[in-house]
Amino acid sequence: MIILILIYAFIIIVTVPGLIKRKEWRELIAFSILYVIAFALGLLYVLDIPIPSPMKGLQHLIVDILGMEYPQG
Amino acid sequence: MNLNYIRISIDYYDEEKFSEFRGIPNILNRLKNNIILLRKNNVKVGVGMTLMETVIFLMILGSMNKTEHAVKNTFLGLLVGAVSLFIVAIRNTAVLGRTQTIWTSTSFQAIRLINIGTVLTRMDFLIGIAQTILIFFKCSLFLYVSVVAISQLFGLKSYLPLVLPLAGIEVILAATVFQSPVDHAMITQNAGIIYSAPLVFFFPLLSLLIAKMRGLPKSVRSEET
Repeated sequence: MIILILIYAFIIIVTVPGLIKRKEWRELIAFSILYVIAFALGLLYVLDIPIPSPMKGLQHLIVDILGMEYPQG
Repeated sequence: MNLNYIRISIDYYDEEKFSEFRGIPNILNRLKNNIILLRKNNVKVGVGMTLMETVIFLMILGSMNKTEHAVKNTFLGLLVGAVSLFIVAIRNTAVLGRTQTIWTSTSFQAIRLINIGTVLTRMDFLIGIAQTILIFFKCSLFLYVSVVAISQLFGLKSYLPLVLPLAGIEVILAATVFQSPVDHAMITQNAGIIYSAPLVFFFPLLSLLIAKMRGLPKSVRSEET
């Protein structure tokens, strides 16, 4: 947990001041969105909270809802 | 041996070239008959063509700032790769002979069988290291393509601020998307073929069509990206 917070604090220190200094607001918004997603996923992983797999969702959509599946033997 | 899945590689669309490459006459017809035979015996068959890796690899060339020696260096790199693969193929054939077609990872099996004295009996760890490095390069390339694509999509001046957060997402996804290699294989066999088909066949063609209609590329790439 502490390592995760340190890593993400390091990422902010390395990235954000430069973006603010250069007034790159669009880049800052894109960075912030991805940063929040990455930190949230990292936090869930560190706290052992199950993260729903996008592949399971995709498989559910394709196989169960759309009924498309590679033919089984 | 309980055989339930076979993956087939198609090297050429042109049958003559494909037959010549594999040294087997009338190869597409034979392949088709064998697939029918395997399906009749309830063996799942996957047909592989390394298209997506090729598409992503080609995206590097489009993103290069210095293109003076691009063609020469690309051919040089491909030549080094080809020579390396040729050496690996000779080694695997020399060690495994005709049985190499039944192994999913021939290099692992070949190295496992090589026994140099009593010390170097577990040389397969070298292959493990080499494959890990290769996958690292592949993931790095995918990460690069992702950040460049997102930065171009939102019209950002530079992709660099996105690298670290996206790498963080990639690390967590890599650890959680598939629970095990078996889970990976099952999802790829059932749904992977369906969802990868538009990514491999539809989107590259659509991108080319849009680029053609818009008359791209128009301008010289900016120095920031």
